[in-house]
Amino acid sequence: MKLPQLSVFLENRPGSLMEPLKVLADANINLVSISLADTEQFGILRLVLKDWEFAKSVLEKDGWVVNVSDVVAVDVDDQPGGLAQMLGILAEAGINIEYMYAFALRRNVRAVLLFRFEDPDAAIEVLQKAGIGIVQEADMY
Amino acid sequence: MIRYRTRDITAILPERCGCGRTLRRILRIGRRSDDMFIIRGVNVYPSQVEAALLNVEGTLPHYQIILTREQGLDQMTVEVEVTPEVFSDKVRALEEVRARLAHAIENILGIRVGLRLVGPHTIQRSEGKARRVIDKRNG
Repeated sequence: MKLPQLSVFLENRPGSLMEPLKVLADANINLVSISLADTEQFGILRLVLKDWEFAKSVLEKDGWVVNVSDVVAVDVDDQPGGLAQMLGILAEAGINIEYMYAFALRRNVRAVLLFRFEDPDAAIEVLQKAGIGIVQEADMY
Repeated sequence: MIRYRTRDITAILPERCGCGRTLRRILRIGRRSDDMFIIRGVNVYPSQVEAALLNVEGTLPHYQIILTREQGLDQMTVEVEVTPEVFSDKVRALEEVRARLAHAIENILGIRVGLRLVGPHTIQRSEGKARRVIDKRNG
């Protein structure tokens, strides 16, 4: 199950993170998860949220450049080695990870990892074959 | 006869137009003589930068050229607004866009330039003739 993730281009200057989040707040949009990639010159704000289409249109109307990409939410065993084992399965299958970040599901206080794979469909197939839980859209929000 | 000094740079096309008209024609206006600036001894027209940006992106993004002097050396930085077409969620992909734009400009001009991706609508829009070059070298 792939989840849509919004990415927003940010300049590297004070206040630039607040501005798009303020736009979403004013539109009464709640975030499920947030991650920020930063470089010397710019940042990429990554958001997972329920009303992503509405959020995208709100941001674009305010002049932000928004990109939609697919991420996969993986439910990892909350015990030592849980993540390492899962990454081992991916590595063995030659699945490339672009980036990842973690967040907690409020509902049942589980740790969920969001992965941006080069090939999400191939990754999902490998994970499902290995019996690793993939969080469905309905359980995310 | 009325003469205008528009400072547009063009050339007369001697051939007849394909449509059959016999009026004299001129080449598309790409440069203006007052747009030109000199950096490290090289004459640069903004249209050259535009050609490079156009080549990489397919359409011309909003851009601005900033000239500064650092430790006695002229520096040229091109600020380019990020468009939805080139924006990506991956840092690597955006760095590649930045490098491609910089190389394209450097190939045309033959000098090193800095290139900064900036947010949409951050470069000031001007009414009428666009102000493409901001020269901060003196004062």
